[in-house]
Amino acid sequence: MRKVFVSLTLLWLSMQPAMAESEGDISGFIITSISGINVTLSEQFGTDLGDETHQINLFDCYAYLQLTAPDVCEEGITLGTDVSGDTDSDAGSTADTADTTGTTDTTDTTDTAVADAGPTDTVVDDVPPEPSDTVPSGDASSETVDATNDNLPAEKPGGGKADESSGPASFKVTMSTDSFTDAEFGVAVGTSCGTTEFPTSDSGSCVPIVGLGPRSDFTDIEFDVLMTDLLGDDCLVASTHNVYVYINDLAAGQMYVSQVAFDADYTVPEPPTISDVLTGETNLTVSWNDDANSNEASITYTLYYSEDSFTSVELADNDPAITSTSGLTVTEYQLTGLTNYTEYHVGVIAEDSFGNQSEICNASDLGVGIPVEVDDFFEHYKKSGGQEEGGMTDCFVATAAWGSQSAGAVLELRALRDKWLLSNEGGKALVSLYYDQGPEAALVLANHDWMRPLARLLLIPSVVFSIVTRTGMGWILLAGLLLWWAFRRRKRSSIVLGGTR
Amino acid sequence: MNQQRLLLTTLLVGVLVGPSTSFGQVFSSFPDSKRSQMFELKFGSVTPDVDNEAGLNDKPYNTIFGDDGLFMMRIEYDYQIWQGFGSLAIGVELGYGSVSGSGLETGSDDSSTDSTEFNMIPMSLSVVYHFDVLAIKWNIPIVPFVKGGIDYNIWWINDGVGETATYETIDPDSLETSGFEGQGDTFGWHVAGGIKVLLDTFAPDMAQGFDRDMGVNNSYLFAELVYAVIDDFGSKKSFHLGGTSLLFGIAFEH
Repeated sequence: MRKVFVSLTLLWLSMQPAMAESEGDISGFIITSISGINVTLSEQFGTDLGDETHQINLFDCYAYLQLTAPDVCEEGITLGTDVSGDTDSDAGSTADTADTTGTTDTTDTTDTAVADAGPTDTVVDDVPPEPSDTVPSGDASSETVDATNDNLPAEKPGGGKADESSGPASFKVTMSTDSFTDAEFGVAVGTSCGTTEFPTSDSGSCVPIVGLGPRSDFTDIEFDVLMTDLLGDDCLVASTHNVYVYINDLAAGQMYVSQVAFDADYTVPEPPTISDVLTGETNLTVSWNDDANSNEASITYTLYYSEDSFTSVELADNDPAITSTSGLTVTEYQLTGLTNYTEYHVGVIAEDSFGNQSEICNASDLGVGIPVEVDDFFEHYKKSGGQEEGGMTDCFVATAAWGSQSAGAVLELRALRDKWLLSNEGGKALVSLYYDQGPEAALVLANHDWMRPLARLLLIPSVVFSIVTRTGMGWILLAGLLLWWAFRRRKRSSIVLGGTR
Repeated sequence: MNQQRLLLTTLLVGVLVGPSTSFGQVFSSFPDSKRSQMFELKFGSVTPDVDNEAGLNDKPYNTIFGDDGLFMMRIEYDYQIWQGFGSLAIGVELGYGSVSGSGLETGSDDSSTDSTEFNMIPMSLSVVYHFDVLAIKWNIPIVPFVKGGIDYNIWWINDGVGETATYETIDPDSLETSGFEGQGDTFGWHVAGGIKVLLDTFAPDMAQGFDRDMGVNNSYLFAELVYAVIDDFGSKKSFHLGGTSLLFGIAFEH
């Protein structure tokens, strides 16, 4: 026990200097927007006000560094290394799930390329920013990427390193903080920057991009970040990079630092393997194995099918003949609405929470199935000579039971329908089902007068329920029941206490 | 069926052996507690009598579902309208049952991987008589009962994609198409009988506490044999959904 206490004390003492040096986050710090200057940022880059996660997958990385994405099928599925290791499990946000529909995004991003040299003057800026003139953002910020531009730099053949020939892709950050009267402002980017002092030079793990300088206006501050500073010059090692914002409050003598984390995951999921394609009537039930991705926390699947064979090339081309269902979290799915006796090819890809997707490399990766006609129980019964024709007795039921549509009980049942059934989805479905059956409904009662009293008897509980709930009698009834119960309980207790039981 | 026999045997053994030490203690309170209602929850397998319909050239139910019946869960509420030599009650019952099988590839006897489901919601109105004299007069914890009444069953059949089954025929002479939907309702009647075993016998203290706290006078395990004829009272154009079934359940008398 004493050892534990001593150990904890030592641990606390060892942490003290660091804690004392850390001055805390910048008050009121908020990023209002992030926009690509000469590159298209994906949704999961976290570009909008309130976005708390900023994620970069392998293909985004290649796009941001102006590099041509390598062919996953040719170069294997493990192109990068996930240094942080836990980034997958950290990123199970709803935004990630919603992004699973963007199955062709990765191919789109390969089209992005730099239009011109871009704002080289926006990087490391040792000149203190003017209060009224924030860090230069560069005119290229509003330019859109044009893959047809003749001035495009030569594409690097799959992977490689970003350099001057690729063009310095960058993005603009707009942020605000609470006001400071006498303060200095600076920005650095890296995997690890100090939080007590502003880095004065590029240390490898930390690059100053806006030199620390005096500033008085702390609203709508803009600064640019080079993608190479954030991601490095290749997409081989994925780790969390941060944008550090420093404010040195000269009046209070305190340094405040806020950091924005950009998580990266460059590991492409293993492709699932189709294990079975079961044939049914106008449907195929497809099963697949995905044990190889069992260590991934938030894998979703997209299932593709087409009458023709296909690979990822056709998927990238957005072939309209290929239909897809995305966002699946199961490993079995029934495709419906197919045409009997037509051959269908089915394929499945896996996608992690960062949007990294496996590929369909060969036609042999696909499963094949042909829907066939099947007799269900009702069809087999009818083909066996069964006489049941289906259809229900209608409200037809109530109308028939009471003999008039304006009978009080029928009106009550309508009120029940409107108040309790049509106010929720389940009830609506029930009503819909009921009206689907309607036309034949009252037939039995209409043809059998003696059954009407029995039908009324069956419907009376529903009528009573409607009256009780509609008129508020339910509360009176409930109160009465509670009083009766309390009275009875008290009476019983007194008997027990009196010893007569 | 073996499980049903085992449960029935267990009940009977329990009745004969279990209560021998506590009859007096339990039934001293039996007549004193006012009873008026009974809630029942029961389960069982029900095989509809479809295959015995006239005019069939196959046994369609057995072909698709084999020996499986619809696994049925039912709840019943009885309100006692008379107590004397036994008790007489009006009961309403609601349930749900379903069975799943494999469809047949059209034109062959081969089973498909497509499933097909037969679902049923049975409802009934019954007159119920409990012969509780044995328990009240002679402290024998067995309550035989009989009941009879009318039934109303809603049913529907699903095809391989979970949609309501349909069937179409074309008249070879007129070439007119007739379509049928695999859903509907069927009226009928039933009689039933069974035995309830008074559980209070086995845990009298708990039973008294249950009565005192919740107002539950008696708790039972029971077996119920039901014979039902559900065919729209003899209609030749209706499913025969009746049959003989054995249900087991638990009941609470309030």
